[in-house]
Formats: sequence, structure tokens, C-alpha cells
Amino acid sequence: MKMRRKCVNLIITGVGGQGILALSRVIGEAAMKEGYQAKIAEVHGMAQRGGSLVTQVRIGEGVKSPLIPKFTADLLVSMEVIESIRYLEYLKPNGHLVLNRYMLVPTGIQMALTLEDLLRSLTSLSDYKLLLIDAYEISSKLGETRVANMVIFGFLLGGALLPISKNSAIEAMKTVLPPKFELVNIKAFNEGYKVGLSYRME
Amino acid sequence: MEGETKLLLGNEAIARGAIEAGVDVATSYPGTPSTEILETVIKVAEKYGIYVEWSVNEKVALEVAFGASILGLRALTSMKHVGLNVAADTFMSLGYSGVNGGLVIVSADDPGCHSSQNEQDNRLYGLLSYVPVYEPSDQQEAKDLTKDLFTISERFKTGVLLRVTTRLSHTRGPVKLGSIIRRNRTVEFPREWRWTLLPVNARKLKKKVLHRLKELSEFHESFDYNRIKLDGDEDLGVVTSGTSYLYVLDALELLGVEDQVALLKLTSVYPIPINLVKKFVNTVGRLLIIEEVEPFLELQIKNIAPEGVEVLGKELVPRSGELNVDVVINVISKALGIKPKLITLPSKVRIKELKSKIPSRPPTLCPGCPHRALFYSLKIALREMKLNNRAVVSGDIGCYTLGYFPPYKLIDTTICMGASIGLANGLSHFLDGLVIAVIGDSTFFHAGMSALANAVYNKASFLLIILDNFTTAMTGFQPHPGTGYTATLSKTKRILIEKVLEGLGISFIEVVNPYNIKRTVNVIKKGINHVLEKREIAAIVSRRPCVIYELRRRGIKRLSRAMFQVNPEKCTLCLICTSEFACPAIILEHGRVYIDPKLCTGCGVCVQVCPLGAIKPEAGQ
Repeated sequence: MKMRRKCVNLIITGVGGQGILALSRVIGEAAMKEGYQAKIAEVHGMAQRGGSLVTQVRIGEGVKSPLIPKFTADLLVSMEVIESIRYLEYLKPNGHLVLNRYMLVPTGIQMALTLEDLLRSLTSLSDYKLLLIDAYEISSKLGETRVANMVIFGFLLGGALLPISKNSAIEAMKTVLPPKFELVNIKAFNEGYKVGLSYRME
Repeated sequence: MEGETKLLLGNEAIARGAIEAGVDVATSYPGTPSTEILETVIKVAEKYGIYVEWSVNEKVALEVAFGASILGLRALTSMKHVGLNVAADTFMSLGYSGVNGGLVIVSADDPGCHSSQNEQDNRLYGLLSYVPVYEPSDQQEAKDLTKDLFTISERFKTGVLLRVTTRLSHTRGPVKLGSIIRRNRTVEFPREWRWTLLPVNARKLKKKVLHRLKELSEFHESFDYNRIKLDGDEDLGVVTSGTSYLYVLDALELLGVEDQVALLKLTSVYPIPINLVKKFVNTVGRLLIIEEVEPFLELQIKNIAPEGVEVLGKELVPRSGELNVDVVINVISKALGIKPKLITLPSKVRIKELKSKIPSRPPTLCPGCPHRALFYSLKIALREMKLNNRAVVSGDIGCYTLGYFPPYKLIDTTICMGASIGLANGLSHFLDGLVIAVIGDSTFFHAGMSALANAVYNKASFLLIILDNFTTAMTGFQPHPGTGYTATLSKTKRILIEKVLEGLGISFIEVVNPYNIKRTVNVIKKGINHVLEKREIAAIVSRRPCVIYELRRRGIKRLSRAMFQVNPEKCTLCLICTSEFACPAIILEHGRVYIDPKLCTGCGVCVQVCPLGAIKPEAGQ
């Protein structure tokens, strides 16, 4: 198959209630502010919280289909480890898996595998780069666990994984997120950015 | 602002198109994936003087819009695909009578059943009603097309069906905004015979309608939204529509076969432009039709394709489920007789193996959901009355349909809006055991009331539980007649469900707060005894606001300041809280039960559930 034009494909996943839709929208809006086209395939309806959630974000020139073919996503961003495994087959060879160090066992399920077990399995696969961040640890320190999604957003930019400037990112956050939480969201973004930067240095 | 490019959901784009067209009236009943259309119009209703309403159901919504159209106003009504079934009576009739002011009916279909009971293809309603059908491919086209459809509707004096799907409705894409038309609004009732569908008029109208269909097909010959790419030396011609067009574009590029394939993208999918299609078919000689769900274009095209032309369609393209780029690559490769070079990962097998080890995560009732508390109480009541495997629970459409899944496993039937009560009629006349109908507040107003009148009138006997959570929760908190608020959140008369029940002649009516488990169990038992002894209906209104709605409305994170915690010294791991009550905030990990403060909404029901008093509120932070 031919290589496609420059276009960044992201799969963003996690559990309903983790701020997946907001994260996707912020990325899309920021990309638009950079002058790219963007498409975000969202999922709405059935159960506000607790279900498996996935969005597909495509930014770049000439974006057409809202859906990303398997094995072509540049980035898989997951707020939760089980969900990252569910969508692993979308990642392209040598793509990046950005993973929040968090596991939420589905309600009523007894699972023998622990977070550490799954992380070990994910590390042992060599097809992609695994980048780990504990977004909840950072967001709890800010006194608001709900901004973990913006920690991840900051991480993506700090790690230079998206063709988006810090300015556009902040502008997009102001467009999309409720003004009431603007300050703490920007703080979360900055904390994530720092962690991303340190990964970039490595 | 005009000229600005914004990242809009397909549904927002449709709303914007209507607003640009100077729409006067917009109506809807909420239903995924259509809901955001009206929600978007509501936001600017006051600014542009648009009348908006959440109607009690789709039939009424269409009639409100139709009424306005008869007066010469521009009207938009939007619904999910199955909503058009509810509105079908009106829809079929307006196919005959036609309209006056532009009337755009949006059907948001759901291929793949993301959140629906079926994946019916509402383009087929075109064939049945003679109403023209249009299908946009992306957000920009959805906006532009919606705007133009009002003019087309007025020009041909017909209602028009705009058919979209989940992937268009719920994808954001760039949309360049256009100018908003300011229209002079004159309202007059045109006294015309076509508004009265007596047989004598209907017969005359049928002939007119068939003629209109021919005119529409001719109009579609030079319809700008249809797109053709035809050089004449291609090996294959692909005809497609809607989002499938985008999958085709990506697939052709990924396969590198753009030059080998001619392309016809139809936006006017009914009636199709016959000459344009014939020209395309005759030039390419070999045709592949790529469309989601039913062979709708295929049916129409096979009807006019000359003999000897090979028309491939549903023998290659799946008829169930959504299409995507991967599927379309496969289909085009087969038609061209080529083998696509598939990208894959070296450790594909190990990834598959890892994937097989992780549990699925179906949607669940939210932490603090009043439905969970009600289901838990219902289970206890049935168990204590030794009825647990003998009662049949007739469910309905809403978050509470999730009561089907373990550990509750209570819902035995879910058919369509209002069918809980309708089916309970039929079940209870013939079953010896207990029948229970479970229905939400919004659903009750939608299609439950007339079924209940039927039940009282025809002496059916069942326990009716109405889950009143003060909102239409599953679609994102729209008000309904039981809330006391209209679409624009202005105050209105609140229709109390228990008063409706009383008016319908039901003698056993109790209102409970489902967060109070003990009382709820007792009332359910009382209701069941009433049904079994008196052989008539007993009704319970389980009243408690949807927890997410309440938290959002009050701008708080939790219902109580206290943090609920499990005392490990008292906990014996009986697991009633995790396995029977099954709140997602109560987590069992490494042989220990704890409450995740990130998930807990502070409803406190688990305190009543724990038989050992191990769950206790701790002083709040």
C-alpha cells in the first residue's frame, strides 16, 4: 500500500467519565488553530459512565474518512490499561502507545491479572513505543482528578507527539473546556507537558 | 460568524444549515444519534426567534413541524431512525398532501446498532412515501445541503428526508459557516383541499405525487451535490453515497487504484437521476455499488441498468453492520481482482493473545444511579416472595434496559418505546404468574400512556414501575412533560405521573425514593400482593433524580460531603456489594473491597446494602 499524505491518526480510549471526549475535542480544536484539518469520530449515548469508550482523531491535510484503518494509527492514547489492549491492533508499526498508569477492573469481574502484569505484557511487545504516565497521581496533587485528561494532553505536546504549538493548545482548551476549570486544566496541562519533555530528552 | 471555519459535529452542522436557512420551527424527541440537532438549535432559539420544542414523541414532533409548514413557515424535525416508525403515519400522509413552507425531516440512522434496537435503513421510506431522500457525506455538505433542502422542499412542495448516520452525526469536521437568511415571516392558513385526505382527495393526490417524483428525478440530473469522476477508460465504476463515499476515497488512495476506478457519489439517493446513472453505467460497463446496510441504490440501479452490465453490490458488501475503510479496501480489491498488501504488526499473534485475556466492558449503570437501587430492591422483593424465577419483567428503552445484564438479570423483554406496558397487556392476560412492566418517565409520556389506558380498560393485571428520574437521561438530560420545564428551560405546567395514573383509574399508586431500600422493598411487595390478589394493576413511581443530572445541575462532585469507606475489619468479603449491588465505585482487588473516591457519587445506598455495617461515611474533605 502507498504511504498516505502527512496525516496524524490518533485512537483515544478509556472508560466513560475519564474525559475522553473533551481530550479528543481539545486536540481537534488545537489542530484547527494550527491550520490543519481535523476530524473526530465520537461515541455518544448509552451509559454516561463506566463503559468502554473510544474516539478516533485525524489531523492533517485532506482528511476524509472519520475512521482509521487498523494498523495505521500513529498514536494510541489510553486513559486506562485494559482499554489500551482492546485497541492495540490499530497502532501502526513503531507507533506510540501513550498510557495512563491506571487500571479499572470492569464492575463485577474478578481479574487475576494485575496492572503490573498487563504493563509487563505491553512492554514485552516490541512493535511500538510504550510511554507511561501516571496522570491521576499528578491530577490528585492538583486537587482535581478530573483534569487527568489534560495532563495527558500536555504530555502529548511535551513529548512532541503532535504537530501542535503550546499556544494553540491553550487556546483550544479555553474554547472547549468550562471556564470554571480553566486554571486547573492549564496547570494539569503544564504538569503533563513537563513529563512529556523529559521523555523527549531520553 | 459567517466565513469562519468551525469544528462541528455532523448534528451541529445540520442545525447550522437550518439556522442559515432561516428556520422558524424546530422539533424533536431525543434519540441517539439525532439529539444534538435540536440541542444546537435550542442554544440560539431566542436570538433568532426560532420556536423549539422537545415533543412527547416523534409523531407529535413531525405534526408540530408540519402544522407550521402548512402556514408557510420553515420547519425542521429530527429523530433517530426508529423514531420515524413512530411518526410514519403522519409521514406517509404528508407524502401525499405535500407541504407549504420548507419542511426538512432528519432521520439519523444507526448502522451497527451503536445505541438502537435495529439498524433499519430509512432511505427505504422514500420508496414507500414518495418523499425525496438526500444523504450528505461530510459535515460541510450536511450544513450546505440542509440549508438548500428548505428551498427544494418549497419549490416542489414536498417534505424532504435528510438521512444521516451515526458516523456523520457524531463526527466533528471542519465547516465553513455561511450567511443566515433573514426571511419575512408571514403566516396564513392556505385553504386547500390537499390538507384533507379523504379518499376522493387522496386518489387525486396520488397521481400528482407520481408526477412530482418524475420532476424530482429530472431535477436531480444536474443536482450539484452529486459528484462524478469519469474518464471513460476505467476498469470499474463505483457508485456510493453518504459516509461510504469517504471510505471509498481513502480505500482507493491506500490501494493506489484511483485511476482504475470511476466514481459516482449520489447525494440525491431517491429518486436517483436516471440519465446520469445510465450514462455512468454505460461508460464503465462494470459496476460496484458500495452502500451501508440495505441495497437501496442497488435496487434502483439494477432496475435501469441495461442487460449485459455487471452490477456488483451486496454479494460483496456486507448488509449488516457499518462499513469502514478496511471493509471497503477488501470489497474493491475483490472487484478488481487484486490482493491488497496488508500492513501488519510483527507480534500480531501475541497482541491477539493478550486481547483475549482482558474482560469486555459493557455499559453499566453509573455509580449512584437510582435504577440500580430500584433493581436491587426488586430482586430482594422477588426473592423474598419466592417469585424470582417466575415473574416476567417487560422492559423498555432507556438506561434501565441495562437491568438485563448481570448481576440484575431482571429485564426479560425490550422491544421498542412504550412496549413494556403494551406487552405486559398481552403477557398478563395469559400468564398465570406475575408480570412487571418497567418504564422510564420520558418513555411513559412518549408511548406508555395509551398502552396503560388500554390495560385499565381491558382489565390487564401487572405491576407497573415507572422510573422517574426527572429527565431523559440516556440521551443527555432533556426535559419532558413530567419535569415542569420546556426545551428552553422556561417553566411550564408539570404533569405529575401519579396524577396521570389516578386519572387513568388505577387504585394502587405509591411513590418511593429508591435510595431507601427497606421502604422500596416493602412497597414492591405490597404492590405485588395487590396484583396477585385483586388481579388488577398496581403502580409504583420510583422517584429520584438521575445522579449525573443532579450533580451537574447543582455543580457538585458528590451528593454527600462524606466519603464512604469499607472497614476491612468488619468486611467478611461476602461480596453482596460488588456482586449483587454491583456499583462500579465499589472495587474488589487483591482480596480487598474498597470504594474508589474518583467514582463514588456519595449516594450512600451501599451503607444499607452491607449486612455487616462495614460501609460507613467518614468525615468529608
